Amino acid sequence: MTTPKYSIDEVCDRGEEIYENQIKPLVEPQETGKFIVIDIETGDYEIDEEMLVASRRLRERQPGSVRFGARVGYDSAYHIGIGLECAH
Amino acid sequence: MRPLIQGKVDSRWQAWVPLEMLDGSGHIHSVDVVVDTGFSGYLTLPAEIIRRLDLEPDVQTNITLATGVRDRVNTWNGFVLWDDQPLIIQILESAGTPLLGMRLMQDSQLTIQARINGDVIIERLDESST
Repeated sequence: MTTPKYSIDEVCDRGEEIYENQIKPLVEPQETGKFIVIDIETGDYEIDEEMLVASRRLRERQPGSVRFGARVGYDSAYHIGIGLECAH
Repeated sequence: MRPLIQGKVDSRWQAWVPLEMLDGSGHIHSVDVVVDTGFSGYLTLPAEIIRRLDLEPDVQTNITLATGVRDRVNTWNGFVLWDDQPLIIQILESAGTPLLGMRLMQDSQLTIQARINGDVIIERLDESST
């Protein structure tokens, strides 16, 4: 296995920053609840009902991309166990 | 309805089912997983099983735990045998017991006999079921 180019914190921090500053105004609220996958090096992104599908489309366009996944309008993509979760 | 998977409730009141997964070479591995209706994704697996299955790495993402704490996880793409067909799913890397979530059970019916050694049955809902 090759050494990852970025740590998981670097990927998530950069992905969140791109989302907040560049993408959020374009996709909320109309895409709320869908999954978004962002190329953290170019800012390119895809949105779909399935994160896996959005990621595959982005990878086809940007092979070798480093990708961050999120759920539009929510703090996290998934929850494990029942907690309080609200859309923004 | 057609049964997809059948398992048992153990002495710790956890509902287990055996999930058949394909590794990177197409070989079938049986992985015992706990059904978790509080998990909104498909499947979690610990790193050692992900390595054994030689899964394909995908995105990194945020999840929220029941305590409200956020965590950052690697995700992987892998195939499960679901209704006798290979189905590609997103797998979250998470230490501990593998969890089968609600997303994998979409269009299915989950029945649990809530007693020790009770049956756990996941069945495919007919298209006419609403």
